[in-house]
Amino acid sequence: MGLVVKNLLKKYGDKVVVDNLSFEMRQPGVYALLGTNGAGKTTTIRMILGMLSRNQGEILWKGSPLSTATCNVGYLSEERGLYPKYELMDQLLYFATLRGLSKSEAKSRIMTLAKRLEVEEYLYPGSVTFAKLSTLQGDNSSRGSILGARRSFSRNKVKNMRADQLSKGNQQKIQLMISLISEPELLVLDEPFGGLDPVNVDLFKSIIREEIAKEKYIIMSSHQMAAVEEFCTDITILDRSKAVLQGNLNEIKKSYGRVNLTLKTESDITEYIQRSEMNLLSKKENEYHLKISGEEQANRLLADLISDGVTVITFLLREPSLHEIFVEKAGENHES
Amino acid sequence: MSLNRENLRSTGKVIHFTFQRLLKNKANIILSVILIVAALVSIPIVSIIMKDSSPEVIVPSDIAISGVWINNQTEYPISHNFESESPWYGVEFHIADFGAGEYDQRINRDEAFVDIYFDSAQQTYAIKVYALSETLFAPSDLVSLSYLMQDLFERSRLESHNVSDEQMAEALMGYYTNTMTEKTFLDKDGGRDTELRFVVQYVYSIAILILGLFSTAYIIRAIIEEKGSNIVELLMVSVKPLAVITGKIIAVMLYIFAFFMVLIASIVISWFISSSFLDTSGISSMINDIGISSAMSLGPESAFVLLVSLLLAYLMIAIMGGISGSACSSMEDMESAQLSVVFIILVGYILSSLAPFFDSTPASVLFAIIPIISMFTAPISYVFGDISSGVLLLSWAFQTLIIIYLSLFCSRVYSELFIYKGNRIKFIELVSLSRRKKVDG
Repeated sequence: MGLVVKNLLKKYGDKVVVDNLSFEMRQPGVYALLGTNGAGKTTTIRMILGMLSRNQGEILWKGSPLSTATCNVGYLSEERGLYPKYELMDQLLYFATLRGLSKSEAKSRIMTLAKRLEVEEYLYPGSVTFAKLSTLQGDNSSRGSILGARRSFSRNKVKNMRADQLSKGNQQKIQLMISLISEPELLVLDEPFGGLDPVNVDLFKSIIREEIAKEKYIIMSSHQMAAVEEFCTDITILDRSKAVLQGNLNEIKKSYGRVNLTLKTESDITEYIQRSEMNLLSKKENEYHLKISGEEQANRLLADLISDGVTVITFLLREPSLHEIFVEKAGENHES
Repeated sequence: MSLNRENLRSTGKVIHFTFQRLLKNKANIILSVILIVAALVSIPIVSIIMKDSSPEVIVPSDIAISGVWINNQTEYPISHNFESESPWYGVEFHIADFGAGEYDQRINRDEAFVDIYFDSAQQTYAIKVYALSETLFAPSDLVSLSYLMQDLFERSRLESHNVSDEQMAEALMGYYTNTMTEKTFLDKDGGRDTELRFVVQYVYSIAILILGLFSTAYIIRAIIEEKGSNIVELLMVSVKPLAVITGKIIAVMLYIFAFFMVLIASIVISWFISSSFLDTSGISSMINDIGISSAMSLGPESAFVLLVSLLLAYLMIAIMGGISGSACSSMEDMESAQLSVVFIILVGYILSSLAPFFDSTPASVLFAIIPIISMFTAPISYVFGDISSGVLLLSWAFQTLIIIYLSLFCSRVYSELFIYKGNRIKFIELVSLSRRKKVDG
């Protein structure tokens, strides 16, 4: 058993902000904590990480109470931050040593992550020479050139960059480096894709995939349902401090059944849809998105269309997306 | 939250990083350079100013009287034999064949007349020194002549009784008298020296105020900056709040202490260099006058007591700064946070200045034990004999307990509020916050 969260309760005065939340991560993978704004996701994460006191509940990591001593945790917080006026390298080394890495281990880890996250030029300002050095290191025949490049690199070493000299996206990369620096067993990512451009979203996604491949436990909180759906195996949807839906995402989807139908035909079939009592979600020319009660209803419609000689271009039956499940569950309570 | 090893893990790393940040901070570098340069040039500048402004003291080396006429009507002969270093060397002494009634017609403007006789009405010897109304010498020369004649006459009287040289030296040895009130006498008897006490109290209090106020400002700023940068959440994954706040406080304390040590060292270096090519006697006498030299001679025990007390006071004020800073979340609150600590320190200082007016042992003991006031009064009261070593140790123990309590309180407040964003939390709310039940993992 990896992570166990039992009966977590947090109150501010009389206001309950997390109400008796329980979930488990039995094996490595991604667990998604989803919810509307103010539902209690970040509060839950902060309680799990011991930053916030809790009124009740238990958090266990592999059978022992979770703490910095029992679990190597990496955390990318929702509210991003670095020391704005201090050199990036100093900050990274500080966090690495706080996580118990030696200076040399930290330096090597920083170099690997800097390369992976494409931020060498900010951490190693003599990056032209650095790049040359890196290229040469792959070539065994040019030992003399490597030494020359190294000397040149140390000669050209310019002052490290400060955090406030970086763009928001690059600062976020440095923060991800901090959370990964100690190769954590449990990685907590609160809104990891917020504020990133599509290129960097892809970069972050590829890094998350690598961490999944390394069998890490990952808790992710995000409003980008498509991105979460890509990785997560289990979910909890929080709404107004309570868990409104929990479990394995595939099973949840199965439980809903294939209730989404996408149809594309050559002619207008609105009359057929009204007759079959399906819920038309949207229509664009002759492409229809329908909510159906089950596969039989869809098959009946298809049979009717074929028997009447209507040409069907697309007939796609699918389970609801995480986005739809989320909107349904969170929206349900908001409507009520 | 307790002061155990787990809660304090990585404190050293926090100290190291915070200290480095303070050293690398540009504003700190500029301030340090300005103050060190000021310290280095202070001694030569003060020496030059003091030399220019001090009035030239004229030390009389010669007596302007050229001749002295003595009319000795007693049986004791006046004899003299002046050394070449004596100011009277070269002055001619004559036996006068005239009295006080006609001296004004017989002596010149650079001469004096001395009449020595037995005053039968007063039943005592009289030595009278006369000069013309307009002389070529200063009145002080006449006073000197009067003392000289008294000395020579006394010597002659003793010689006539065959007194040995040793007895003569003993009999003519100088002495001084002093008068004092009963209170001053009793105070002196109790081992007190009001002037020295004032100097020690003043210097010690200034040291507390400077170290305390500087460290408070830096600690509050460091905490608010970290909160404002939102990095504190990342930090808390790696270290406990107690380690972060302890590390921060100790790093700032070390930095401020080192900074003032460097300043003092700069002044000392400046002193040694300046004294080799400038006249620094003016500064030396000024230091003597204000009693700092006497304070230096208090002895190692007193120095130890003052140092330990200073350390405890410094620590207590720094932790108060930590509590005050933990209650803030933006730079706008910095001023009020700082003021609240300054207010507490100043109240303690002002109340401690009342201590000498309560001239009783129970009052001294009370002032040495009451928190905040005790950090100003306890060591001074001990050094000047108002309280015993037992009371001092009790005061230290009490201060240590308060420091431990404040540290835990500070850590609790910090851990509760490090992600808080909003107005500065008031002290009463902090107390209720720290009492809130917390379920730990």
